[in-house]
Order: sequence, then structure tokens, then C-alpha cells
Amino acid sequence: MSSLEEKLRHLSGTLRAAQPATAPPSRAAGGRCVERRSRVDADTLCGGMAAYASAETLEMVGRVPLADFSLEKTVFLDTETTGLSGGVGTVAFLIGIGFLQEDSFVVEQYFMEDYDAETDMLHRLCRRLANFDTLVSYNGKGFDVPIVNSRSIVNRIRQPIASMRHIDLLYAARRLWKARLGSCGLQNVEREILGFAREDDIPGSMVPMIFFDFLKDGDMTRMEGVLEHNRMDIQSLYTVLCRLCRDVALPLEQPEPADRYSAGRILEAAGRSADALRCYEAAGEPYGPALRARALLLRRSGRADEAAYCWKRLLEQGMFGAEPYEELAKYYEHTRRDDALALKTVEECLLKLRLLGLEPLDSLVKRRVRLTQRMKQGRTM
Amino acid sequence: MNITQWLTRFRSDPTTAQNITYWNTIPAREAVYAPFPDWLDGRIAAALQKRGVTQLYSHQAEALTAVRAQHDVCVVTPTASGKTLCYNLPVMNAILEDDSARALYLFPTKALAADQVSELYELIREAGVEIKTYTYDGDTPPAARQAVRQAGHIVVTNPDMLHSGILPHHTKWVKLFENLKFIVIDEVHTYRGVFGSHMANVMRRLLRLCEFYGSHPRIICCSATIANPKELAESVCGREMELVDRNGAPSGEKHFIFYNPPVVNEMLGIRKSAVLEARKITTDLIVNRISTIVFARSRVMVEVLLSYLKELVKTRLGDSDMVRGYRGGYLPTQRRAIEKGLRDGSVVGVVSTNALELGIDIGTLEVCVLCGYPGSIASTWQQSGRSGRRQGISATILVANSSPLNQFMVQHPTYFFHQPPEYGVINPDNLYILLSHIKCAAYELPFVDGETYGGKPVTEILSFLEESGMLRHVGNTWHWSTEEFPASEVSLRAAGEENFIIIDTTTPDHQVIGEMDRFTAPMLLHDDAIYLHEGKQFQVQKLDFENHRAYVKSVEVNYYTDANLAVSLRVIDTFKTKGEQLQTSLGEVVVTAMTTIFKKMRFDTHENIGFGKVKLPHLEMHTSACWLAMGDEIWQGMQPSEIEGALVGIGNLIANLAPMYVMCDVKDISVYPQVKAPFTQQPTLFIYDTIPAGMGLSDRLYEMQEQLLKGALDMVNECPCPAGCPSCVGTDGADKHMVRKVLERLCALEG
Repeated sequence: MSSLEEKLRHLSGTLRAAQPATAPPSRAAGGRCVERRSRVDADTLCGGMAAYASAETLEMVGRVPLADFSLEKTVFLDTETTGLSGGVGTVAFLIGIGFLQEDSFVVEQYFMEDYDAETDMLHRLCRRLANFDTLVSYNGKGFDVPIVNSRSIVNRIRQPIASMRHIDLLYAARRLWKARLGSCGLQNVEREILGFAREDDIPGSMVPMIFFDFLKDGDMTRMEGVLEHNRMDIQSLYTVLCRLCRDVALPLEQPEPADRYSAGRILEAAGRSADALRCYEAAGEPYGPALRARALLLRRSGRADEAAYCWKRLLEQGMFGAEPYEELAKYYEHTRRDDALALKTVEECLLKLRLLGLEPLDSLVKRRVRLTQRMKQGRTM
Repeated sequence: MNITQWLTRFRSDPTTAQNITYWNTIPAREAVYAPFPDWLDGRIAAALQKRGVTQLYSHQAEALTAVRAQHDVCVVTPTASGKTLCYNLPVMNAILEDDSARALYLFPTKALAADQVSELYELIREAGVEIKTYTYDGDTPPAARQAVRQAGHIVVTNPDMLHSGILPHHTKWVKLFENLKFIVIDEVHTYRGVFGSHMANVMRRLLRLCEFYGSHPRIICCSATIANPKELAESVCGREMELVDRNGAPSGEKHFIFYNPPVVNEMLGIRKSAVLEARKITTDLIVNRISTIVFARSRVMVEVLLSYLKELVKTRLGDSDMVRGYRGGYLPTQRRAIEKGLRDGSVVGVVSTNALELGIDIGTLEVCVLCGYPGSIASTWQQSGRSGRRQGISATILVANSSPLNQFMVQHPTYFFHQPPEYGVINPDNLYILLSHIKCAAYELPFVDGETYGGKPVTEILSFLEESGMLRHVGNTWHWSTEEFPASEVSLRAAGEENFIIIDTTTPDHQVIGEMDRFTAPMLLHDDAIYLHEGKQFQVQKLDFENHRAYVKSVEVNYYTDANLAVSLRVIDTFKTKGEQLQTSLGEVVVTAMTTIFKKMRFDTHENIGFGKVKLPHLEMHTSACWLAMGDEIWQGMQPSEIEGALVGIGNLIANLAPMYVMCDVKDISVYPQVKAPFTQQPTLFIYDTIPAGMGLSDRLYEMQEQLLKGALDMVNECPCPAGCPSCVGTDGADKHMVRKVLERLCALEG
């Protein structure tokens, strides 16, 4: 027990360290940075939807200002890492980028065979990124970019990635499809929106393990699966981007009410109220969220009567709790100047809340007091 | 009744006067001033003047000069001596000179950080300058974190957050690391033992990263009075420090009163309970609306006192919330509510463990009641400093309990007032702790061949980590190579792993009400234990040992529980040995500890009313120990049973005295007597660190063995009991005369 090594061994038991492996042979030098390049016909990826990916549409989809945008100067990026902890010690061992070149979509992958190739890999990425001005990723803002940036700092490389214009498709996909899909993970979007399922794909959670195994035995068999997984991800980025643009450009052609509504929200946020309104209408009155969005937009546009119509419909559908009552009460009180009707609406709502066993809302109670008083005194103006 | 009147009555009333063994009046002290240094920014000087500060205390000026001369400084500051200016002024001045300059403030607790930040804000506002100060801790909303990282001139945090939230993400803090000019470590004396050893490693990691980013921050430490502030600060920071310890601040008149409860059973040496006496004194103070803080030694004692006091205050003053509890196990929201109550005066009494020992400014408390000696001279002064921070009369009343250490202190008041305070001991190279932090450091930045850590080569440890599959050595570099996030496995507050969580299952919505470290949990959270929280009783329904969870249910019973720990020990290695008839050794041991039974004790009389069994896995621990093997000469003419009794008796004395010499908690050291130890074949007394891999306490005791035995002999001689009592040799069959005889022989050997 006197040697340091024995003490460490004993301690490791209490520390729950990983099981001691047989000592690997010492490595004077580890690996190189391997580059892979593949190209596919760009049109097969986007199915003719590329035309919709205009700067104007993309700005709405990505909520990023896109002056002087061109698809040719856009790079798609995805990494595979040694873990998800997101701290400095998480390494991106594979960085894949994709871009358009003539009629092709090219995927270039930089894979470090061992840690000593990381600097070289990051340098190559750095040089390559200089050709582009816009970055497209899926959850890259929260994950890939911080990791690449972090590892570049550790390797003392000035990496442009953190300051590049960045469209994170995860957020865009959520804006458009979350109402319908719930989870907007890339694979789920592929399956539910693009309608294809990957075969023999490696689950993301296995990736770090496969890399650590590769470091031990140098066997590329399973690592090839990771490279393929990464390549598919990058190609999907392009497809998803085009699809998002098309769905926002042609919102009325969406069969699902939820998608029409979501497209409307995106248009409304971009200031295109008339188009948004058309989307909400197209979503159909039975789809409550669209009806409510329509009511709010109409009210803001000064079209109080039409808004009131929507609130009445919502009230009939029994949706959104007290809100339609309150909105109608406001409408009766301020627009129609019919205090009796306003009070009746407030009373109805309070009754409904009481029947449901819920607390009366302060705002309703205050409104009732005010209306009751004024009805006693009569309107002064 | 005001405090002066109250003290006069306390001193003259025969029922209390007879129990006062010592009354020390510390006169008010005049201030020593020095002017603002000429380099101090005019805006800062003006802000100080606006608050009525027209000059500095001498120690503040001295600290400022040393920092200005690019020294790392350790300032020793009694409570209320204006320590914050010692670091706030140089830091603010540096930021006003260079807007890119950054500073990192480290406080041991979030509460303390919050308190100091509000003071700093005030000064910045009054100076009308743009110095962005942010707190960065677990409560900082994610949305605000980005701004803190980018724009904060002064980032205020705690060691835990630095360890797991900042260092492993250092690339998000490039601005801070590249421009770091100052690191401020307040309350550096709290970084001792396990926590201090962790802290020293966090500092090693921090400075390692600073070097990577090319910054060379100066360090400013503040410490309460301990024997070795400079040495402790130097071991925590790994740098040489300049000591500033000539206090120039004034202080108000202070009464320091030693109170020994009357003897109720002379044979057994039993005195009236310190808890009951402290309760009586405190109740009287609170009823007179004299703001009072009571310090109890353990969480359990806090809760016991609290439930007594709350009940009394409820009947006498009508609001039980005028007395509140305050201890480490409380959740942050509960703690803050109490701190607020203290400031706005809706709380008159506080019962606390040493969580409030730190410099949290809770306003004007007039009296501090110590229910039992806090265990060290330094802690006693710190706790006593909670009363009378501002000018005016204040008092500290130390109510002794029956323990040997308490009796020693209360009967030797001059010892307390003349002995230099204790040492702060840390061992940053404790293997268990070192290994954890080397993992974290490797995660943060790969080690390069030949790189040292803490001034020592680490190749052997790195190789071990590679073998365990955590690192990969390629070329000349050691890369982190697992999915793990090592910082999340290390808690700085205990050597062990994560805490136990205490879950209240009384209502269907199970709520977490507290937490406890894994070494204490088997003692206090075993099945059927009574756990006290905010004065409420809970019974442990189940302790899920594997998942570190204790499920409790609210109950009302008239007893509390007290668990027994069964221990065995064997020697693994001997590092050094001295002496012959009394052979003292230092080495490594394995201690096996198991909680086996618990006692049920009645609340009011503390009598034993039943037992229960505990079934828990044993805890095995490698640690360092100092042992005294005593040869035949010493035992001449004694029966084996007498030998055993004497050994147990000496053990009892030493267990109580040793913490006093090394400034640790009583539970940081354990004593284990063996009549015929397999290793020495002689009657042997083992004293071991109760922290895995040891904290260096045994090492120091090995050196101090002579003093220790002399202290034990003094204690036996001066205890008034006829034949041995819990206050000296204990009640486990030790014969006082035998113990005295053996100690006399041992001390003669030393002669």
C-alpha cells in the first residue's frame, strides 16, 4: 500500500472510476486528419424546392437579417463529439460541412484519427470557412458552434465560426412544425415531414463510444457508420432548409391546419399581416389556435367587429378559458358602448369559472365593479 | 431593560452570579487612521467622503499600499474592521484606470456574496462610475449569464460555482481570463480541512488557466484571526503572501462572560444542561427585547433549542417567528427570508450553527450566547463578533457544557485569552482530493509532458488515469477521453461523494427539505431516526443508501435519536516513529465504521428510553493516523482491566483536547483505544483523521504529542470530580486516579 500506484488503485474503487483497461501501447504520434469528400445531385436532395430558398423567405424562416445572401456562400455544418456535457473537455472529432457547387451538393468531412490531429483539423476547417459567409446548422447555436469555438481557443486557433451569420434550423423547424410534431429532432423531422427513414443508422448516443473504441483498436468498420450518419445529417440540413422555405412561401398549400397556422405566425412576425390573416383563415375555424391568432391580429388591425366574431366562435367552442369572454366584454364596453351586454358577458364568465371550481380573475371582478357602478350612475360622456 | 441594566442584574443576581467563572471587560479601542493614498481615484474618495469616511484605518492603508506595489496580500481583520475596503478600493481603482481590467471575488457562501455585493453596489453608485458587478452562482438566470461573462468587470461567485460552472467552461469566459487583474478570496480562514484542500486545488486550476490566457492576477485574501493566516493563505493560493495584520479599527466595549452551569450530581460530575441554561438566559434576553444570537454546536442542538424557544416566545410575546433557526442544511430561500427578518428587526432571536460565523452583516445584535464552546478559539471570537459589530456595549456569554474541552475552557479562562488561536490546516495533496482535481484540470486543458501541478510532477497520476480509460496520451499531451464531466462528481464541501437528499413524504407532493453529507447521513438519517428540521420532528421512513435519499414523515414524539458507530482499525503503513517506552508513530490505516444501533433519548431529561437496530453497509476509509504505543514500564503494577480503563480515559481526554490544538471540528478526529493492538502488540491509542486519505491533522498531532499529554494531565488534575466524570476521563469505566498515574508516567518520560 505504500506505492502511489497502489494507493491510486484503492482510491479508484471508492471513486467509481472506469474499470482499469489493459495499458495501451504508448503512442509517439497518433493520427492524421482524414478528409472525405462526396457529392450528390443537389436537385435530388431538394426535389426542386431550392427555388423557394430566397433571401426574403429565409430571413423569415431563420429570423436572421440576410443582406447579400446567396446559397453558394452558405455552408452547412454538423459535428460528432466525444460527449454531450458541453464543457471544454468535449471534443468534436468529426466536423462535416456541406455546400453547393454547380449542380451538386458537396459534403466534406474532417475526421481526426487521434487527438494530436485536432489542431490540423480545426485549421483546415478555419481555412475552408473563409469561403463562406453564412452558416446553417441544426442546434448549432447551442451545441456545435460553442464546441468548435471552444476547442479552437484551446488549440489557439482564431476560428471565424462564432462570428459567422448563423441560421439554426432547429429553431426554424420548431416555429413551423412544433404545433404538429412536438419534438423537432432532425430524425423526427425527416420521418414526419420529409417522409423518409434512415436504414442502419447509428444512434447518436453510441457515437462517443464508437470513437473511443476506434482509438483503442483503429478499426474503421463502425466508424464508417458514424461518418455516414454525419454525411446524412448534413444532406438533411439542405433538404430541411429548402422545405422550410417552400412551406412558408406557399403556406396555403399546406394540408395541415397546424402548419398553416404556424406559417401564419412566421409571416405575422415578419410584418406580413395580410398573408398571415389568410393563413389563419385557411387553417379553418375549428382549429382554435388559428382562430385566436386571427382574433388578436384583427383587433390589432382595428377590425374590431371581425375580431369579435372570432371571439364569439371561440366562446362557442369553449376554448381558451376566460380570454374570449374578457375580449368580448372589452369589445362591448369600448367599441359597442353597451355596458349591459359587457356586464352580462363578465357575469357569464364568472359563473363559468365558479362552476369549474376556479378562482375568479381579478381583472374580471374589477371590470364587473366598474360596469355595475357606471350603470347605476349612467355614462357621463 | 437595556443591555447595560441587564448585564448589571445578571452579574448581581445570586442565581446567576454563582455560575459566572470569569467576566472579562474588553475596553473600547481607539481607531488609528491614515489618509487616502494619493493615487486613489477622486470619484472613489468622494464617494467615501459622502458616507462619512474621510480617512482610512491604518490596516486598510497598509493593504492598499501592498497591493499597489504588486504584492499578493493577506489581510487579517477582526469583525467590523472594514475589510471590504481593503479589496474593493484597489479593484475599483484598477478598473477605473483600465476599463478592460477584470476581477473575480470568491466568497465561501452565496449568502455572504449577496451581502458583500450589495455593499459594493452602493459604493459604485455613490462614486457614479461604470463598474459592472455581477453575481454568478446557481441562482443567476440563464438569460443573464451571457452578459456576466462578457461585460462583468467584477464577477462574484463561490468556489463551488467556480469549480463546476466556470473553470470547465473557461472558453466562454475569455474576456475574464485574459484580463484578470485581481482574485479576491474573502474569509480565507474558512478554507481549512477538506473544504480548504479542495479550494487550494480549485485555485491551482484557476491559476493554470490564467497562465494559458496570459494573465497574472494579484491575489487579495482576508482572514479572521487564526494562528497562521499567512501560511494558510499561501497554501490555499500556492503563492507567497504579504501579511497585513495591525488592526487600526475601533471597537466598542465588550463583555466576555464564562458561565458554568451548576453541578447537579457531584459523583457523576453532571452539571445542569448547557442547553437548558442557554435557553433560560436567551429567553430572558429576548423577553427584554435585547437582540440575541445563540450558537449551538450541532444541527440537532439548534433544532432542540429552537423548538424550546419558539414555544416560549409564542406564549410570552405572541409570535413564535420572532425566534428563527439558521443552519447550513436550510434551502437558500428559507435562509434569505431569515436574513431579511434579522435586518428589518422582525426577528429578535436567532439560533444558529456556525453558518453565521462568517461575516454576514445581520445588523446590530447585542448579545451572543454560545451554547457550548465552539471548539476553537478562532471560532469563538468569530461567533462572538456577531454581537456588537457597531459601536456600543455588547456581550458574549459562553455557557459551558459538561464535555472535557468545555470544562477546561471555562475553568482556564486565561488560556482562552492568552493562547494564540488555532492553526488552519489543509492538505491540498490529499490523494483523494488531488486525483479528483487533476481529472478536472485535464478536462479543462490537456496536460503536457513535464507539466507540474501544485509544483509537483504528476506523470504517475496521469498514467493511472490513462489506464482507467479517462485520458489518452498522444505525442506529448494527455487528452481527456471520456464522455464524463468530472467536476460534477466532486463536491468541495466534503471529501466524499454527493450529499443525501431529505424528502418529506408527509403530503403527496414530496418535497425536498434538506440535505446531508454521506458520512453524517448513516448517523442521523438511518431508518426510524428522528430528524429535526425547523423545529419540526420527522421520522425517517426509509434511507435509500444507494440512491442517497432519505424519505421522512412528520411526527410528534417526545424523544430524539442518537446513533452508535462501531469502529475497527488496522495499520497499513508506518511513515515515522519516535520514542521507546512511549512509541509515537505516524502512518496509514484502514478504518471500518458501521452504524449498528441507535438510542432513543427523552427530550427534557435526555434519559435513554429505548434502542433500535440499524442495518446499513459499513463505510471503509483509508486515512492517516497518529498512534501512541505504551510499553510495559508505564503499566507497571496494573491489572488488565485497569489498563483498559486508563487507556479509554486518556482517549477520552485526547479526543476532546486535540481539536483545540489543530482547529478542527471534534468530528474531524477520532480516537480508538486498543488494549493489545495487533500491530504494536501493546496498549495503543490511535488518533485518526476522519476524512478519507487524511487532512494532515494526524501529522500535526504527531508533532504536538508532548503538549497533548500535558494538556490531558492538566485537565485531569483540575477537574473537581472525585473519581472521574464525563468532563474528564469519561464514564466508560475509566478510573481517574489510574489515568492520572499513567499520564504522569507518560509526561515524565517526555521530561
